[in-house]
Amino acid sequence: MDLEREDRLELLFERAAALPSGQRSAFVEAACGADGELRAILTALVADADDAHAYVERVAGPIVATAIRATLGDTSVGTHANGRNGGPDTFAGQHIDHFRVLDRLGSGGMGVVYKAIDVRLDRTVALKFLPPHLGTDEQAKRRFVHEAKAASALDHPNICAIHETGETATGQLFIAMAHYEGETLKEKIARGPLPIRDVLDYVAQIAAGLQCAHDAGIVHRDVKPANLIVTSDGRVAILDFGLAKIARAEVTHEGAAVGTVAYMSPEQTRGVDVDAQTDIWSLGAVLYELLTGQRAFSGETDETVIHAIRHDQPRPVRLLRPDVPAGVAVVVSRCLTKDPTRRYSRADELVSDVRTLQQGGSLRRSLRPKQVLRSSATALLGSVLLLTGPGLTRVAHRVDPEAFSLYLRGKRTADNAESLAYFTQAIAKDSVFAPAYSEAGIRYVWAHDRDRAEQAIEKAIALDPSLSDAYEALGLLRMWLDWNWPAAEAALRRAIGLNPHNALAHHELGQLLTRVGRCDDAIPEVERAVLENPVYPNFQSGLAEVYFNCRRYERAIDEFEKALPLARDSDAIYRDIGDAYFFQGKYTTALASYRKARWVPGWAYVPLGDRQRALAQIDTLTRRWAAGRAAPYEPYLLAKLYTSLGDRDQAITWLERLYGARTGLVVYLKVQPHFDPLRGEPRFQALLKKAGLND
Amino acid sequence: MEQPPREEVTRLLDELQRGDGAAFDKLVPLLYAELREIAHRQRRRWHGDETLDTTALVHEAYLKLVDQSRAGWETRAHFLASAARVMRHILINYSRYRRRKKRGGNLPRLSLDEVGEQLPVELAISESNIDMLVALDASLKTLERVNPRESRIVECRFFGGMTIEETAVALGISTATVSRGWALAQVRLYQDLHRELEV
Repeated sequence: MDLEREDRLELLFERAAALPSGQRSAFVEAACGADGELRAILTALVADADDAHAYVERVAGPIVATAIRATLGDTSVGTHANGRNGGPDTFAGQHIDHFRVLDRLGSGGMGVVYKAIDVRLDRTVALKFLPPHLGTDEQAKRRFVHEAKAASALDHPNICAIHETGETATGQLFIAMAHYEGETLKEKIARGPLPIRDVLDYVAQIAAGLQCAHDAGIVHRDVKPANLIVTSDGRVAILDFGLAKIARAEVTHEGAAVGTVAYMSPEQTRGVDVDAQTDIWSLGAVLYELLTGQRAFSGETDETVIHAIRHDQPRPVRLLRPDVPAGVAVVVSRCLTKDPTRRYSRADELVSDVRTLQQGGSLRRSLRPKQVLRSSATALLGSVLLLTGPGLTRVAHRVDPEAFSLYLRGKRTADNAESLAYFTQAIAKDSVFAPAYSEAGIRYVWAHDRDRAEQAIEKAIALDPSLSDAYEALGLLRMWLDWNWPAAEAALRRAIGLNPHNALAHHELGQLLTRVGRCDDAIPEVERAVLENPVYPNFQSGLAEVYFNCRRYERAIDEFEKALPLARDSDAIYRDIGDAYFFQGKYTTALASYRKARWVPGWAYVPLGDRQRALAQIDTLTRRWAAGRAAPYEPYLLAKLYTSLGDRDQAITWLERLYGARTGLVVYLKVQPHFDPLRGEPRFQALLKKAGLND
Repeated sequence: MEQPPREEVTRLLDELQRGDGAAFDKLVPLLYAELREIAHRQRRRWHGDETLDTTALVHEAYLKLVDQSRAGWETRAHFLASAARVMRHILINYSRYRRRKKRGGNLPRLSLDEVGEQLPVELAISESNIDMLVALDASLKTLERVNPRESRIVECRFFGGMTIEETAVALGISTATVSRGWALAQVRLYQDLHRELEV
């Protein structure tokens, strides 16, 4: 401990952190002068300054404060969480079970919703915390678990998937469900009526989802714009299945209405036991509002709204919006019929009608009315099959704890074979544990076992098509062993789409884009990976590697140096730094860095006039190759050595061997600066073409 | 709990100041009982509608536990810093105890004196937060070796709920020094915790 040095570090850090982020590294550079160690330490600290501050303010600080309150006997914290008056964000930043709670997304009658990360499966979810008193009423709790379980069995693209239910340490119930980036129909309607084409599309999707639930005997009971979310690609998901039943209990509990009564069916307002027809009414009310921008039934108070629902006819849709096709108005009327037996008897009848209207709309110009009818009849048949075809029923899967623990050990093990053994054991314990398959797949990729990798990854995707990691593994396979660049890119983008926080997928996508020569696209991806996980050394050195392969050597050296304090094994990083100096023509500095790596490649001496060392290394490596003892990367090394000696033919011969052995390192051919002298050779170009890397 | 005599607490603080480690162990239960008692009263006063203000608690405990006629500026500062350490101690003991409980079922208590172990196991702290608290303690120990002043600052800020100014008073250093130490300590803890908890 050197207190003087500590004081200096604190002072420099304070000054650096006060600067705008763009000026920090220049300041550190100037302030540290020749003190390389101080510079490395300070650089790493400054890089994390903002994240650290946010982490302490938002995560660590609140956790300690809450824990202290708990030890002092303050139990009011748990009930505060729900903030009846929009109280403080007490769950944000907390760890609850295997969830890391992020931002608050909103609140409604059934509790507060937060965005969270399921750290076990590394996916983004929405956590809905139910009102605290539900957790204290055993009967309500049992009913809730029962309803949620029933709803979690629903597997349909238009139904928000429920993953699991849980309880906080204070006994507050929560539901983990799929998280969608999008806008609810409530938010959309707030901006006015929607295009008719969109309305029909949305309503058909909602009806298809409802039909799936009705087939399973589940009635939603609370279909309303706020419960319908539209994702950016136009998919509608119905939220809160199964919750309305509990919400109704809530009405009597609190003595006040939880939500709006505007979308209730007449029979629902009478409090009688409702069936699927009630959802069809509510959907009709939503349809009416999407088309006209006005509620079908409105009033000053709940009583007047209920009176209107029971006795009044809404103003005709086409009066409010004349461009609504007559057929669409008929659909609205068939939903909003007071007598439930005269409404659509099934949601998929509504789907058929909407499909007919959609088809008719697009065919009207070329066909006469009769033909329209006939063609829509066939279209109708097709669409019903399409929409209600047998869906897989996915029951919420609880991972075998032993399998999970093996999985975690595998994740923490660096040695490929050893870690693969853990995943294999995890799979043996729990044969439907998708993340274990996907991790095993990655290890098979590193072991160059193409077939097993393919099988494992395929299985992971089949088990959980929403698992980001599985697509990330697929991306690695397609890139590293298949050299199928477009497929690899698509898979990695899919992985990111499923979980934008998947740092590894960002990292790998960045590497891929560099390898195919798209530097500008690559950099944001690797930077994002570092942002997502600033302390994982591979992401930092991956960022540096991208700069290196993009020929931005200065920046590469900076970034590699940031990786030094993070990495357990600094040899590889010193070697990379050596390469970066080498290609800048700074041969003596390069040599010094290679020495720190404890292995100096022969090419380092060539520009300094010494060819012997390169030749000696070539000799050793060639013998090992002949004896069948060469590591997969050694032909690559030989190619680099021959290139540095100017023997392009031999260099390419070794690269061809590398290709022949289907070694993953082929992915670097297009961008590796070492091979720049080979690029004019037709044999080299042919090799690039075979690897799909030609321009 | 019997009312601790003021002389006792004042004496323990003095002994602690002179580097007697045993004094701390005796101080923990006295201080903790008092803090709990005040917390309980505060809650009643506020009808449970406010969350606790740890610093206010500590100040109130100070007025009550330390002989004001004999107390100087230094005693008060020392009391504040000690209270933060006491809270850390209790929290960590409790966290470790709960971990042991989870792992080994009904393990006997290691020592009956440990205040943390007298707490109910089912306190409203989630498992992952328990992990985080244990990791935080380990990181603070590492930090203590690198820069003891920074670790004291973190203790006051985290466990004593103190502001920068209050921390400066408690540790008898300038606010500028607290700010600098706090800024750097945050990054060190963050890096250490991330290594521990995530990767």
